[in-house]
Amino acid sequence: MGGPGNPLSALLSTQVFLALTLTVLTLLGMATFFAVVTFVLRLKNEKEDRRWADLLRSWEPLLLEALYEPEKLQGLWDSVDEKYHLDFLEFNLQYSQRLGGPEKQTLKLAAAPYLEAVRPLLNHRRVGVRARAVQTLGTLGMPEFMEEVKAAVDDPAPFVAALAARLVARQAGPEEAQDFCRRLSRFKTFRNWYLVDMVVDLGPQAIPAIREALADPDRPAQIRAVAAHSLSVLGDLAAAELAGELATTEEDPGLLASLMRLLARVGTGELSSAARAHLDADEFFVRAAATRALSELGGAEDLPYLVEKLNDPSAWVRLAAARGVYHIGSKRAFRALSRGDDPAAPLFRQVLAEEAGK
Amino acid sequence: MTGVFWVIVFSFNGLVILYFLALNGFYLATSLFAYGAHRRYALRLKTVDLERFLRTGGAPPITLISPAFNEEATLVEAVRSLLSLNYPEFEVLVSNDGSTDNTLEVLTKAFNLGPVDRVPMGGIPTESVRGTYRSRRYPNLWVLDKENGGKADALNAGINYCRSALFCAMDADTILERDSLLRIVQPFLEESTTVAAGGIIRIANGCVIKKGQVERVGLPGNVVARFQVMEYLRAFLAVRMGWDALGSTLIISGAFGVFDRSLVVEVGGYSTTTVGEDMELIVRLHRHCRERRVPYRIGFVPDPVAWTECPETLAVLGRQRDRWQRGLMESLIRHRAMLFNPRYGRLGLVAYPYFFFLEMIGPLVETLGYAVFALTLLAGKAAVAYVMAFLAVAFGFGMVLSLSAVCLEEITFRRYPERKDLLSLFLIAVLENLGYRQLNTYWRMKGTIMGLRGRGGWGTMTRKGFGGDPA
Repeated sequence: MGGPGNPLSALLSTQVFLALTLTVLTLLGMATFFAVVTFVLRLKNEKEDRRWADLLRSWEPLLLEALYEPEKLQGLWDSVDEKYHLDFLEFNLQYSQRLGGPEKQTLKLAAAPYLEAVRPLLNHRRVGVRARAVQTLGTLGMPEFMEEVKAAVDDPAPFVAALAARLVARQAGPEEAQDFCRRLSRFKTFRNWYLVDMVVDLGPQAIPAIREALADPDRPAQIRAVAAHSLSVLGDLAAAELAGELATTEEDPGLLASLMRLLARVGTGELSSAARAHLDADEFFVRAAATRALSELGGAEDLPYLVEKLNDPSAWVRLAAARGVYHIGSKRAFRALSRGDDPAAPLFRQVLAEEAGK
Repeated sequence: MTGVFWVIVFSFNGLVILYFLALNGFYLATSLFAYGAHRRYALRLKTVDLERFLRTGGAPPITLISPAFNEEATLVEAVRSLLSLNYPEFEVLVSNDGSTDNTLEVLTKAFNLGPVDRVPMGGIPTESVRGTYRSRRYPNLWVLDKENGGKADALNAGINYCRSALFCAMDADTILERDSLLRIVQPFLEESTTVAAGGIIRIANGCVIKKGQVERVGLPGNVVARFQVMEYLRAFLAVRMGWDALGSTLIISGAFGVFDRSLVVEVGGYSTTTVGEDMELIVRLHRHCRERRVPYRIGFVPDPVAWTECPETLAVLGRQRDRWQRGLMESLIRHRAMLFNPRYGRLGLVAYPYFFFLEMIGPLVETLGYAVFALTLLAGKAAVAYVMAFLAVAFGFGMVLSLSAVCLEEITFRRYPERKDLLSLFLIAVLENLGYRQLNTYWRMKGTIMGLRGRGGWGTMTRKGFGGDPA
């Protein structure tokens, strides 16, 4: 760039031009590289697809036979070449996610001779590889590899740890359940939905351990809330009293809301005072949960409380109250009110529509 | 005087080169980050047992909010597609934004809708809702009929009526893949601080669509649409994934994103005074959380796919790009306090300046650059060879970025199974530099100017619908 005749400009121009030319060549080289790599990848992927399809073709009929007649497993094993051990596990894993009961047991038997090859992958530097190893052993290698999978609950990557915890939860006996509940704090970065689903996987046999987690004031409030929520999903009637008791002492809003949910599910009329105590909580979600609990537990004497909640600033509380009024109060009066010009009439109409849709 | 003029001209040329280097440098950097992020994601994805979530109901309920304005041609099929999603618990809420065609009638007939009372749970101000309807055939399908207020207003009305903790904002004509909700919800489950997540948008033109699902993926026959396939690959697989790896997602496409409802209500919902309401909301969520020191994460998930029909004519495409540019501008100017503000961390120091200077002002610089370059050349102040070499560098960068995106696609999702489609993508990577990119720059510059002058609206999009044969 620059006028002709100026030596500096000319030099600059030459150097810039050279640089540009070199850049163009480099870019062209890069572009060619990407194009070639992509195309080679495509060829490789297609070859891999064909290889996988061939493997499936050879294993699938043998596996299907073995699923009906487990004594035919030897035929399947004979068809698995040494270099395809991990592929075979991958194949089994895909099936195992769709099968259950005795078929799944046969799959585990089919996989058993090859699982040792997965063990070293538990320490792989890549999170994804470790996760897949945990999943393979946790799905196809339990209870033999229980210790390895349990150890993975302490994996530095939360994702691997959670995956391991889920797999342990599915196989856990009462003792493991206790240990599992103790280690739940490891997963406090996860959303409660996920944790509840994980805890519920432990099944009814874990209820005492979950209850213990709920009662323990030294556990984080989030974990106790997860425990309360899980007990409500598991329908633990014996937890009602504990929930009522805790509802009078605890202050964490998340925990209180979960306790209210538990009370609503398993509580009795005697515990309705615990719900009433939180009708005016600061957080709307606690008020809404308390209103829902009162709607389930309360009697005619609780109707005034619910009617008062129809004026709550939160729409969630108002809707819960309207449902409660319908549940506890006179259906005829409710219908009459829904037709009037009461501010709560639209809520009543919605509740009626919901009831009609049930 | 002439000397000063040429000094200015040369300085400007220098600025253009700087802009060009910075822009392409950023693109290359995000592509590199995207590469690592994709590899990690692909390995993780294998271990996510989606079926399990379906069986146990372990995934949180979601409300799909679909704002519709005069969508009678495509909406029934789009809603059918939504109703067939694999997800344990979800509601579809169509927000009919005062359509002047037969959108409501068509929906009523197709899904046997009846008026049912439903009270709003949120208090975001919107145009008035005339009625709420529920399908007698599909209890999880609701339709809000409201006065016209624009897309953002329709979304806000939907949010007000949403009862689940998460909602999915989308376009009325978007086709979601069956497992897309199960996939996009993962960051919400695994990271309690996640407040928003966006999925990838792909072009449906050229694909075979049956019963509301993409049955066979293919490239469109239309050239304009083909160019956009490449653009979307680049934008989502390389750029957005790269920004996500840097924790600086500033855009979640309005066509497909999942949000934490309570937080969106807290920040006041979508802005109705911008045409870029999707980006503006994300920037506002960032600001809100950063200013209150609330831990949060806004992410991009490259796998849940939403398919959308793209414009096939330059006129419609030009209007769309003009609008996108104005949206970008409005969002960035509104939140200019974030620019180089360390309070907003990497976002304020890297991502925001990138969008501000390179994406917002860039088209102006680039278009003027072409003009000044031509002037310099005509005045004999620059050698033709030099200019040609510079243009070759520009084309080279363009090709490298596009081909690296195609490479990422091959490494990860391989949605285009035909070998001839792959070769076509190579060809597009070359051809798009010969006019298409420059046209895009022109539309974006026009958008910038219109935005500065406070003009412009949404424009119209002619849709063919998904029912027909692929182009």
